[in-house]
Amino acid sequence: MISALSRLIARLRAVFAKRALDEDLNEELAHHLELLTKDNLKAGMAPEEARRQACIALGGLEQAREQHREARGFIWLEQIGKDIAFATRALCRARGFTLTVLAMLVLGVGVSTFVFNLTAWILIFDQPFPHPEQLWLIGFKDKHSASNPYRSTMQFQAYQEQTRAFSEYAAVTRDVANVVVDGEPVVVNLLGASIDCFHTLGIKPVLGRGFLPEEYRPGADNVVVITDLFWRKHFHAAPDILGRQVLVDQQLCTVIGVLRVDQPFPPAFAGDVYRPFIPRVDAVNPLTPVVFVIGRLAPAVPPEQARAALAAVKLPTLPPWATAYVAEQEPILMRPTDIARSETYWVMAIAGMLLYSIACLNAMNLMLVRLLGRRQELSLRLALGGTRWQIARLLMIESLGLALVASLVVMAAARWIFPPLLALITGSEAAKYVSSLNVRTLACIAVLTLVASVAVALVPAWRLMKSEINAGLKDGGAAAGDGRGVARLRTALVIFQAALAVVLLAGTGLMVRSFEQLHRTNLGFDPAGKVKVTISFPRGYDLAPEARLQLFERLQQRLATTPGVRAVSFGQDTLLEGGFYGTAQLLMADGTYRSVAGNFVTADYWKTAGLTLKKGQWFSSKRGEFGVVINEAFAKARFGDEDPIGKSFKLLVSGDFLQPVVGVVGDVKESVRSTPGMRMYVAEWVYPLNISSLLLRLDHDPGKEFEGVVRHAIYALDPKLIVSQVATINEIVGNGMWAERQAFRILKVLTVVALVLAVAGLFAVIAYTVDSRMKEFGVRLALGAQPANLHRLVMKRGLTTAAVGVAVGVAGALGLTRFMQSLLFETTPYDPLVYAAVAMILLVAAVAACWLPARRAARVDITRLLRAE
Amino acid sequence: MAAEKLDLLQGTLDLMVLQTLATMGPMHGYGIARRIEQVSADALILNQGTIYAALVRLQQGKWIDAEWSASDNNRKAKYYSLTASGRRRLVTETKNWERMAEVVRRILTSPPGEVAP
Repeated sequence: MISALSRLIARLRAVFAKRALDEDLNEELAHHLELLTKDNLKAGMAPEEARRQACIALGGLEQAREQHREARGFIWLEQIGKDIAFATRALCRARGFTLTVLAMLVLGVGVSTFVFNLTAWILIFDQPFPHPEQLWLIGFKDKHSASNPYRSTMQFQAYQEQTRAFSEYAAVTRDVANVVVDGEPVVVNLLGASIDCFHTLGIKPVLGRGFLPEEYRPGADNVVVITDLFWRKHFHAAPDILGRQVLVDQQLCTVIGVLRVDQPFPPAFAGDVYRPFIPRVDAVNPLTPVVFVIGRLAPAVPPEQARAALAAVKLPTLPPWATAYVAEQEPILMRPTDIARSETYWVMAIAGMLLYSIACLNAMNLMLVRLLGRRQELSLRLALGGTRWQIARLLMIESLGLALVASLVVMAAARWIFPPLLALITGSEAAKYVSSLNVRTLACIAVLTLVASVAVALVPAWRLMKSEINAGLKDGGAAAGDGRGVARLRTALVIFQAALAVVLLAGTGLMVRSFEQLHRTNLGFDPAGKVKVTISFPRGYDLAPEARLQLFERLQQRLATTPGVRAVSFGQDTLLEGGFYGTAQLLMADGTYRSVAGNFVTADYWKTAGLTLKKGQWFSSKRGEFGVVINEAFAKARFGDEDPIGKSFKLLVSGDFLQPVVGVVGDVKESVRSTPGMRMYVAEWVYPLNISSLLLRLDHDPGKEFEGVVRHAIYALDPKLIVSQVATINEIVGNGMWAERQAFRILKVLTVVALVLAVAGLFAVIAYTVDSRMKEFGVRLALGAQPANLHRLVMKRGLTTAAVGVAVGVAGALGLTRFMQSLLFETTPYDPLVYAAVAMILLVAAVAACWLPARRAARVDITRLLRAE
Repeated sequence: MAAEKLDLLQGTLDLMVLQTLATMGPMHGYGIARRIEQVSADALILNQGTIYAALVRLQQGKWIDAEWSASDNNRKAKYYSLTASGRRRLVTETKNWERMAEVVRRILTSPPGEVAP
């Protein structure tokens, strides 16, 4: 066994010590021959004959050498070594070609690897949590929305106590809190993690530990686990972080753990600081606090059965309004990532693959051009006894070598360029600290480059197999990789590229349309110059209703003096959804109940928000004077065509509630995508308990510094208050389109690159065609054709190719853009305007690509051509 | 003309080279070839070139050593010598060969019907 191994090593070594070994052998053989000849001479042969006989006895010098090589090493390995050396030389000589193909491969593989990095987690690997298939996010559906990804603490407690369908739960509460680190206040996302939360999601701090069961007792819960990013940003990645203390909502807490930098979370579970969550139901509103719950399905329980078990859970006695509210809800199970919009990622993944294909096609095309340029060399090789397989192997080695270099470049990019780029695109700072050069990325690069190189080598090799041997030796004749067939093939490749580019263009075009639509959408009010400020209260900061009202009045007065501010109003919530709208049950004319949103706002709210009063008037600012303003949707649903002014209605809110309607206002949207529902406005003093939002009106959207001014003003008034949001309405609208924006940004870049590649491919093909038809053009010119005719001839050819590509691409896009439907806002994926524009763009680009070759054709110089003959 | 020459059996050349070196001590390639021809009394078809393939094979197996030194006619030549493991191999290979030859002989000389079913 050992000797077999040592022999193998010796043989391998022999491959690389070829020259020395050959010299040795030559000398030995010469010596041998010499002695043999001498002996023959001694035997009385003539000198000539002696040498001849010696050669015969030896069995031929060359054969002896060959046998020796075969015995001592691996012939095929030597051959491949030779091929590699040859391919390297050939590639270095054709520097322009080599660099272009390399650029194609790097671009194709690099971009798709990057997109893969961005999307793989969500699309393919789902979540890297233990047994992710058992994890379900528990939410509910009701009349208003098909999926609400949260539950109330009370329901969460009931699930834990009453069902065995789930073996454990991860639940979090989300809060915005003030955390003071070394005297510096920081507003953070504070998450309360339930006792099994970290275990269920497989979260283990990389430094320190997670929460212990005994820390889930009041008074023992002053411990926090922080994220890697929080640790880097606010502790400068101090290694002695464990045991340090921070103030969380006025409570001194000890840092006991730091999470991994690339710790994955289901979307609702990501925050900055984690603290134990001890479930406690709010006394006033038993449906709060809201929790996000992920349950781990018990073994062998089907999801449908678990859902039924959740629906059957009994809740403690609730006030009538809450009972009605809960009765409408039906628990649903969602995949934990359903909150994120996976369509965005699909769009990106598809776009990445399209670009990859375009780059590969382009590289393929370049290989074919090169094959054409080398046809005389290749034909000569065939004529001299080289087999087609040897030449195919050479092509393969060339493309593998290119792929190898390309993959090295992409790896370098993955190491140094991907992380900041990912951070930029995802908006997640943590991405900067995560190395993209992991096993998954490496595997992705390996697969993509390998596929690309095989594809790139295969087409030319296949052409080669079909070609005639000796034709290439004749000047100008068809050759190895004969002209006609290759030209057709190359045109097909260009058509394919153009088609793919059209698909990408169409996708981007639809996004442009969607954004346009978004800007034009009528929210029911003018968003310009409006700023929403949301206040939250730290734990233990409890205000009586009257005190709360007074606090907000003081805030109102204070903010009204801010430069640029024209008006300030406040209420339970102001424009656009964000906080909690009160929901009540309205008794309809037919005796049924329907949900209606109630908003408690100040009397000047409608002016500040810019609502349109349709009928009657707004309620008065006088305390004690009741009056309700309803929106048009409410008026229409409840009162039909009757005039609602002066009428009253019945609500199921902690008892019956009757108020006269004093006015009707226009509907406003709660988010860009929603349709307005029934809503009523009531004076703030009627129910001040949930007041948390201020609305500021300015002449136009303020600059960045405005947020600091507002925060500072509020801090000066009451330093304990948490300002969880200062944002213009336009910003909030924009944030709501975050997923679309991200997809749009990536699509834009990919599309530009794809367009450039496709046009470059077209240019290369047309230019080559013109080059090879120069003689024909010369003859045409000599026979009386006008230069303009030649120009037109070339242009026609290029544009026909492009037009076919557009047609194929549009057909493909119509099929593929359906994926984007949910990303598009009031835009159909079949928007004819978009397709027309896309076709125009590609054709204009094609004209630009064909222009130069066409001009060259028109300026063909007959005398020079003849001289060359 | 003597009886027809024999073709070399597969794998036997290595054995002959080892045996030659064992009896003659260090030799160069030509010497080995000549020696084998002489001993076989020219009854073998020996393509002398194949000696070198056999030599490199044996050398890679560490059964023989090679060294350049001056030859009788004062010219540089490569001399091959048996190593300790080569000596051991010669013994086992010789035994194997003898057993093989014996088996072949027995089969060829067995009269019909004698072999038990």
